[in-house]
Amino acid sequence: MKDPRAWGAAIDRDDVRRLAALARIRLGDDEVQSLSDDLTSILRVLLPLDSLDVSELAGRPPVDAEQIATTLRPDEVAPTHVHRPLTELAPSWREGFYTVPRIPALDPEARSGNGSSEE
Amino acid sequence: MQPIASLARSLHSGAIAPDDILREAALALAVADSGPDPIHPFIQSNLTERSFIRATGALAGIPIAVKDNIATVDFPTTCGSRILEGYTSPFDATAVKRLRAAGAVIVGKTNLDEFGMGSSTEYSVFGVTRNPHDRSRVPGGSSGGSAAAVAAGIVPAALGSETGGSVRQPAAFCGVVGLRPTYGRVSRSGLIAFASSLDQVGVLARTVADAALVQSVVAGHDQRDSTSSRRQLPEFDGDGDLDGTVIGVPGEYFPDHLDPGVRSLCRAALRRMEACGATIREVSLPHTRLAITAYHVIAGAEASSNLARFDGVRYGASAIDPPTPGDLYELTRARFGPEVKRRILLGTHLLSHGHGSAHYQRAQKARALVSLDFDYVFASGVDAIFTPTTPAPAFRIGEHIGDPASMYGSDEFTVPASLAGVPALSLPIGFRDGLPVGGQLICGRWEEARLMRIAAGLETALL
Repeated sequence: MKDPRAWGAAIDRDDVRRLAALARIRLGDDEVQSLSDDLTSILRVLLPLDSLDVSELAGRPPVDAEQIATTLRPDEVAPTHVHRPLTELAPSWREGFYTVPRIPALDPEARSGNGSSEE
Repeated sequence: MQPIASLARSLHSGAIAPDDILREAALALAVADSGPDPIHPFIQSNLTERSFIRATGALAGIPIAVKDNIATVDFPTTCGSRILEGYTSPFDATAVKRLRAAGAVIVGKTNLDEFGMGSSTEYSVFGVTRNPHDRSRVPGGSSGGSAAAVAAGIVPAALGSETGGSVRQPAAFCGVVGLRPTYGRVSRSGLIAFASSLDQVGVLARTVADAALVQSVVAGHDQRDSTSSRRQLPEFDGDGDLDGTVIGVPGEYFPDHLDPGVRSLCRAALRRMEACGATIREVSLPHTRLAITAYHVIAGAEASSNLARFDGVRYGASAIDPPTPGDLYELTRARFGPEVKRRILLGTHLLSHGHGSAHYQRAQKARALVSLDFDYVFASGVDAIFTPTTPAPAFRIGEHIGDPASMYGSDEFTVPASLAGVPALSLPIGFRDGLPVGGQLICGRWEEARLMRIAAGLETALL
């Protein structure tokens, strides 16, 4: 059995399908094969970092210290910088609510066959 | 198109009107987009006369192009992707807002590799952009449209963005100046995120002085980006000076596979700098070989997280009639192009169960080592590091498209400065067989004024 943690291990078609499911991307069969080839070759080009000597980093902050400090803006009400009414940003808008496509799996009426496919 | 300073003088004296500049830009675009192989720098443009051009400001009446991953209210923002079809931002990016406040006219949105992922501007759903110096070749990327728009004389300057070299590499390929500022110098608000710890807005221009001028307008703290620095941008008066400077030359950036023409142009540039009073010193950046790996692990991991927002609910044109919420996400995200899918899946792989965060943490350590290399060199009295920007001039369209891993090599000299967050600039140092070659100068964090002074000195020395 291959060790999935090994840096240069090939990414096979099942791996690609599992990764695509995690990343929520629907792939065609041809894409699965080309991604398997591409990801395998990309990981082979990249160097393994497993044996990196990091002794030089002991006691040092991970990044430039200035960038660690979180800057906060004053907690004050300010005008929005949105240039257009929010209603223009939605595909559709009714009675103060965004309307979105009806998704049958979430809709009891649609499941029983009574719902329309709009809104 | 003349440099900004001379356009501004002509505008001020009344010798030309702002509309004259726009007409010249429109003419240059018509020439660029003519023939069987159009350069195609823009996804959207508007070069018609404007009645609302401001008469005052550092960039009054100056046309500027903006990479199409930077939000604008008056043009759609596409990121070169099908997934953002129909999207227009409700706000301007901070950098764009500052350009407009200085009187600049935003004339269009430039083509890019989808979401900034690529080095050739071939991965755009809107088609390839071609190199103005040789239309059979790529302009570089991902800010290839911005570099081509400047090189084709349509605009004197353009905004680009960098994650691993997306301003400097196309600047080198197109024979223009490309500046990546210190991480934190320019607000990322409105720059659509790819890898947040690396992303930065940069400038492409014809001259070092123009790049410095545009940079001075867009730089500075912004409360909408908590990583933007409160430090003042140091003054740069536009004059170059190399006398008494120490220029470090790292052997790691002159490997055996370096194009011989690029190598000899770099040597010639170093001789010119020496003749102008600079001291050339050999230095070492020993962890350079780790940079490409650390970069792709970190950028892939951050991209897979950042691009989760394009799910058809928060962002992205929703898939039509999905039966379940899962289908909505998956069918919407199926519209990402091939390179974006590769990077997201690479990042997902590196972050997924079985790896823990081991790869990401090791990459962060490699990044720290790369960064420390720069600190040691600058602490030893070196003012700037000089390297080639790319291992070779612009490659042919289609040359690397079938082998994505091979494309990653064209960023090998730009990625280290990105990882370290230090400012770096590419400027033209000559031609190899008719193709422009870029030289790269790198300085310590927040040392943009020094970087500009040395770059302007080299620019003058090469005239």
